[in-house]
Amino acid sequence: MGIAVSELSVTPFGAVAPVLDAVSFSVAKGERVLLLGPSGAGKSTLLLALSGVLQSLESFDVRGEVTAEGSGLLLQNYSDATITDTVLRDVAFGAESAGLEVASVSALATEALSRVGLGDIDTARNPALLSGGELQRMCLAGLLTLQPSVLLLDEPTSQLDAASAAEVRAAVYEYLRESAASAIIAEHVFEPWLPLINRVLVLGSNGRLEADGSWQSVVESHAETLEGWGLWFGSNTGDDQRFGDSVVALVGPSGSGKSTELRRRLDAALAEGLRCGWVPQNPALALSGTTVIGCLSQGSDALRAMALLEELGLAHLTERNPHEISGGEQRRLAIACAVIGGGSHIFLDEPTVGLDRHNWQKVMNLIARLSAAGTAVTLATHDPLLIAAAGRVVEINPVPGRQAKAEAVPFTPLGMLAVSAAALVTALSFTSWMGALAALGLEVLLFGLLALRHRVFWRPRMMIPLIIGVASLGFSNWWLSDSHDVGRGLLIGLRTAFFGLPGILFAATASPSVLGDQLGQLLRLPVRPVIAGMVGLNRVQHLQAGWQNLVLVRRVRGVAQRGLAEFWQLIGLSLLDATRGATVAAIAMEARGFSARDANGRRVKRSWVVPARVSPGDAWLLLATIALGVLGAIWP
Amino acid sequence: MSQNSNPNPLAWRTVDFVVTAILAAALGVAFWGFDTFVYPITSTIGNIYPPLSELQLGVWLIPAVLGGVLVRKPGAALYAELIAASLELVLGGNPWSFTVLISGACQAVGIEAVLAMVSWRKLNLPLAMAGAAIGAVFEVFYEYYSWVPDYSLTQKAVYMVCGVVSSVVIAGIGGWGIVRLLGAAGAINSFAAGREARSASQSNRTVGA
Repeated sequence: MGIAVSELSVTPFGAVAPVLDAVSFSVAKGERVLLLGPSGAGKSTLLLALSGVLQSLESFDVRGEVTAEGSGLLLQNYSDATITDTVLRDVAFGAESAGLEVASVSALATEALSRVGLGDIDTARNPALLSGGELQRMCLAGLLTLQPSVLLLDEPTSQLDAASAAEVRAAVYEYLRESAASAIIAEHVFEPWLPLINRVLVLGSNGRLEADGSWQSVVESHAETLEGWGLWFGSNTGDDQRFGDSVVALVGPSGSGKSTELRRRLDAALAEGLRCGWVPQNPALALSGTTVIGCLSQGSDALRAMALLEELGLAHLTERNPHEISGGEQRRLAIACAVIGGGSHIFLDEPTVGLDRHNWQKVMNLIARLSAAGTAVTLATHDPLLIAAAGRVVEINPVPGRQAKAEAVPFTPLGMLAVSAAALVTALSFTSWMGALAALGLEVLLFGLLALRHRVFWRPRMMIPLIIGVASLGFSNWWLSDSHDVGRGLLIGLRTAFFGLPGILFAATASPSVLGDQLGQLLRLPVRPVIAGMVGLNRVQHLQAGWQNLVLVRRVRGVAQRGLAEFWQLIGLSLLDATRGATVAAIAMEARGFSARDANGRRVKRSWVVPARVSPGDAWLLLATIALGVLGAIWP
Repeated sequence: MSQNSNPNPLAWRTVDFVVTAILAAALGVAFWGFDTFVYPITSTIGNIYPPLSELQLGVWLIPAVLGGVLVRKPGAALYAELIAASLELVLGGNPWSFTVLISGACQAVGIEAVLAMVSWRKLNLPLAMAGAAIGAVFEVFYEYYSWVPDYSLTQKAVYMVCGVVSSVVIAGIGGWGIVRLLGAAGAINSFAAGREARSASQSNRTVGA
C-alpha cells in the first residue's frame, strides 16, 4: 500500500497558476520522506491533498489521482487544531468518529498518550493549559489512536522550542519504528529529522517535483538550488551576529509564559507613556485593510512604508491583500507595522518562526538596525540563533497552568434545560398576579437555598439584566394596554421572572461538552451539528482572547479609530480571525474522520468516549419546579 | 477530471458546520456583551416609549442571515441562530432563559423560507432583507404571545414596524455585509458565497485601479 500520486495538479481558487503542477510519485510502506521546497511551493497543499481534506474544501481545483489510505495528518497550528475541552476527548476524537467500541476507544487513547510520553497526564485537563510541546504530542496521540499507515506531518515542530521539538520527534520516531508506517514530513528546520529520513522530495516554486532521491543524492545534485531558496542548509547556518544590550530575549520552554511576560512588559511600557510597537504571537491580528501597502502606511508616509517593505523583502506584495499572503509574509508585515511608527520600545513575539534563511536574515538585520539606533527590543523566542545574538537573555520559568477545580453540582445541563422549559410552560398558564407571586416567592426561596449550598449558583451580577427586563416588561404591558390593569402588568413581570431565574442556574452548570454528550446520546440529535456546535461553544475563551489582543494591537499601533467606527472594525477583524481559526479546526476534524462514510457510503455511527447521564438532582429540581408552576397556575 | 468530492450539493460538509458554529459563537459572545452591558441601558431608556426597544431586534437576527447567505443549505439559518442562542444561554446574564432557543427558531424561519424558495441558491441583498423581515414577523408574533400580550392593537402595530425595520436594516444588510467582508478578505473561499464575494471585490479593484 502506501501512497500513490499521479499527475496531481492543484489550483487555489482565484489563482492563475497551479500551486502543484502534475506531481507524480509513490511512497512504499515504511519509507520516511522529507518534503522540501521554498515558501509557497505547495508543501502544505500536497499534505492536505494526501489526507483527502483538500477535496472537501472546494476552494481548490484538484485534478489527478491520489491514494493514501490510512493517513493521519498533523498540523502546524496545534492551538487551532485543538477542538475540545479535555485531553481525553481530544485524543479520542478520531476513534470516536470511526465508531470504534467505547471500551477500545478509551484503551486506545490511554495507549496513544503513553506512546507520546504523556502517560501520566491528567486526561480531564483542559488542553488550553498544556505547554506547546505537550499540545503537539497530544495531537499526535490523537492520530495514533487510528494507527495510521501513513503519517503526514506539516511543520510539526516549527512553533516549539528545541527540547519540546525533540520530544515530538522522539514520539514520531517511536511510532514509525514500531508500526513500519510510512511518513511524509514537511519542515523548515529539517536537519534534526535527517537521521530518520530515507528519501527526500523537493518541490520547486513552480509546483513541480524538482528532485526525488536520498538526502545524499539530492545534496549532490541540488545544493545550489536549496541554498538559493534560503532553506536552512549545511554550513550556512550560524553566523555570529550580535546585538547590543538593548535587545532582550525572553526564553523558556513552549508554553512557559513567554508571551504573557512580553505582554506584561508591553503593558508596563504603555503605562509609562512610552511609544511602543508590538507583534502578537498571531501576527494576522496586526493586519487590516485590503492592500499590504495600505495596511502598513496608515498615518505614516508612503516612502517610509515602501522602504520598510523593501528591507523586509515584501516589496513585490504591495498591492496584495494582507490576509491572503503566506504566514511568513504576514509575520514580516506585522513586524514592519510595529516598527514604522518609530516607537522607542518594540516587542516582538516569535519574530523568526517559519522564515527561510534569506528572510530570517532580513529580520535579523532589522533588529540589528533598531538596536544600533538605541531602540529597546524585547523578543519572546525559541530560535537558538536569535537567542545567541541577543544582548541579554531572560529565562522565563514555566508556571504550571492551574485548572480551577469546577465545583461539583448535582445538576446536569440537560436537566437544567428541562427545568427551564418546565418553568416556561407553566408560567405561560399563570392567570393571576398573586399566583405568580406565590410561585416566584417559593422559587426564589428554593434557588436561594441552593445558592447557599452551592456557591456557583450565587450570581448576583447576572440578576441585574433580569430584574431590569422584568420591570420593563411589567411596566410597558401596563402602560400600553387598553385596560391599564396593574394586575396584568404585575402578572407579566412576575411570570417572566419565574421562568427567567432557572436560566441563571443553567449558565452556572453548563459545560458545552457535557451538553453535547447529552444531546447526542440521550436525545439522539444529529451528531455532526451537535459536535460542531460544542466546538463552537468551547471556543469562547479563544474568541475573547483574540478580541483583547486585537484591541491592544490597534491601540499600540495608534490606528484605533473612535467610538462606533472602531467597534465595527473590531467586530469585522475578530470575525475574520474566528473564521480562519474555524477553517483550521474544520481541517483538523475532517482529517480525523469527522464526516467519514463507510464502504456503503453511509455515515459512520459515532461512538462516545464519555457516557452521558442525567442526575437524581435533575429529577427532583424538575419536579419541584413543576409543582411550583402548577401552584402558580391553579391559584384562584 | 476535477475531484472535488461533494456528491450532494445540499449535504453539509465538516467545514460548513464548523465555520458556521464558530462564527455563530463569536456573534453569541457579542450578544452576551450586548445583553449584559447595552441592553439594560437601552431598555431602561426605551421605557419612555417601550415599542422603540424593538428597534434592537435586528441584532439577534444577524446569525440567521449570516448562516443562510454563507452556507446556502437547508437548516443553515436555524443552525447559526440556535448556536448563537445557546451561547447566550450558556453565558447567562439575560432575562430570557430558555426562550432564547424559541426566539432563535422564529428568527431563522424567514431566511430558511427564502432560501427554500430559491432552491438554496444565491441570496442577494434584497432576498436577505426579505428573509430578515419575515423572520422578524414570526419573532414579533411570538413576542405578542410571550412578552407583550397586553399591548393595545395600535401599540402592537408600532412594535411590529420597529421590529421589522430593525431586522431589515441591522440583520439583512449587516449579515449580508459580514459575508461580503469575510469573502473579500479571502477568508471563506471554501464557500460559494465567499468565492463570489472574492471575485467581485477583485474585479472592483481592477475597475477602480
